[in-house]
Amino acid sequence: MSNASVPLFIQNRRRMGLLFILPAVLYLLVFLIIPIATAIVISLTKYSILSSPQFIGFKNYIRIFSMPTFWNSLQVTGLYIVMRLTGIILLSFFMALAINQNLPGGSFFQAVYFMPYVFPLAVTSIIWKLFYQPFGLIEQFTNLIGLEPIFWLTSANTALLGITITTVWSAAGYYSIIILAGLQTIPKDVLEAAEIDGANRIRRFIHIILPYLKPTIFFILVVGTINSIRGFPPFLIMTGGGPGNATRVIGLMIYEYGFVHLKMGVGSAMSVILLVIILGITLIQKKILSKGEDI
Amino acid sequence: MNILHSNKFSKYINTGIVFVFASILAIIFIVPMLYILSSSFKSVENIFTVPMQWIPDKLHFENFTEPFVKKNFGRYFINSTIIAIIVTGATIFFSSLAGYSLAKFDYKGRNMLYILILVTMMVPIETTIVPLAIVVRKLGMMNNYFGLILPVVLSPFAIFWMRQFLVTLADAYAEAGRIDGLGEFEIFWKLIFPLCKPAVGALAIFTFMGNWNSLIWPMIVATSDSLRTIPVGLVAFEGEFFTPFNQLFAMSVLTILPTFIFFMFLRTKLIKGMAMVGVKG
Repeated sequence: MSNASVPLFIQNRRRMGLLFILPAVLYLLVFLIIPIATAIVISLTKYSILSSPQFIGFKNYIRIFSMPTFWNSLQVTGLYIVMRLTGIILLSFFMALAINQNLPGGSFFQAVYFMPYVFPLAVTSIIWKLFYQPFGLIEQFTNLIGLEPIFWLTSANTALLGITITTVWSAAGYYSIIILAGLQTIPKDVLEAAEIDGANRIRRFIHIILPYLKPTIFFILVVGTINSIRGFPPFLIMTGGGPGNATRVIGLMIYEYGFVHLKMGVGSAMSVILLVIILGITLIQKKILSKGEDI
Repeated sequence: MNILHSNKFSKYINTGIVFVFASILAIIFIVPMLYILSSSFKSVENIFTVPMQWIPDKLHFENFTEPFVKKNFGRYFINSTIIAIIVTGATIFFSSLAGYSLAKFDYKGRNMLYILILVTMMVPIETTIVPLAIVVRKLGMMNNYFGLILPVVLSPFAIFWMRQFLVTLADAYAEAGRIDGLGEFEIFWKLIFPLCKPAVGALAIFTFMGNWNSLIWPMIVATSDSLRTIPVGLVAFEGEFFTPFNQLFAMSVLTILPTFIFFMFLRTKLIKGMAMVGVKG
């Protein structure tokens, strides 16, 4: 189709449409696409800012895959995701179900549960680090129920759990709102019919509520996984990855290689690996979600 | 029939049990917040007294002023405010413009761009910080406001969000403007943009909150103290050898305050927006 056959005002309109999206395209190009391309290129080099990059092929990747600390960090990250999502799903389901059944004071409860989510993660991490200190808030609480003092963040057995409790506290209210939104899509008459048929609370939950919430639950699993990988400030602030490597998650490790050890090549290679992992998770989500719609 | 099986009675019992658990959970959620507030008014020694004192002996208001005098917290607050406001304004403007273009204009490559946005939406900045820092350094934007603002001035999600809203808008508004002889930008600015209020409102709150709370990127870019934002300043403050914890708590209270006020006034809107973002995003 030649331009001559297109009326002038339409050509003009097209030009304006392109002009409107130009700033966004420039942004995506400079701050997303070029960095990702750079990461791929730099990941094939030895680069420490001080010297210019040297091409070394796949050596960084080989080195990373033979590093016990890398596998350890994937393991810690995986364990953290599982613990965090378990905590979040249990708590936020309870919150959403409680609010959904018109509990007295429901909007007060909702406000209280949601509030920690508006706190900056940096602030949450700093204050919870203080809570966990000897004689801190947590110890005063565990004393109350007769437990021996626990060295939460300084013991390899409990450090990850301590951080998980903090981040569950911070995010459960947010996820409860997503579940609540899902609950409200369930037609009331379906639930009522089940109640009349004599289905009890637990059966109603398993046979009606859960199937309806399938997309919501998958969404929470995927977003929760990605957010758990992204949110490494608590690890940076509360434990710095320690004790030993007990809490050195992958996000923290990339940060350390890039900005503490200044090994940009290794850091970039790890970023590429993480990027592939995250895109993989998203793809799996898309597959499962589109299957879920068929049912 | 046994009274326990009567529907109404068991409903009351159920509600009672749920209420008790909900209250216990609420207490667990509130206690840390009260602790922060109470500690921010205490003397350092008073924070760690056993058993815990909920009401301080004396209100130490100087906890709230000293970090501004002895430390650079005034500067941190100014930096955070400037960055959050500029980024929020720019995000709203450019994402509505881009979203409008994707939703209502027809040109080659439009679908490609839309797919690109869908894919990049899933890439969190945390995975690109290393290469992003390399690019930003090459552009000479390390350790200045450009480096703090430009890399976060827009987001693929914001564009997606505005596009989803604008797709549902009737074409008649723009047509009416064209008949009246308005230019395309005037149509956008005078007719379309004012109609975007519901979508823009939610986007503004999330963008402001995200930037006000952001830690990692500002920490990488701001190498000099005068460019630090509040979260960066707080983390540095906490990392010192003898941190006055009462002052740290006081500054945390001040940091939480703006988002807390937002939250109090816009709670229902925020939650509704959150549910929308959550379900669609």
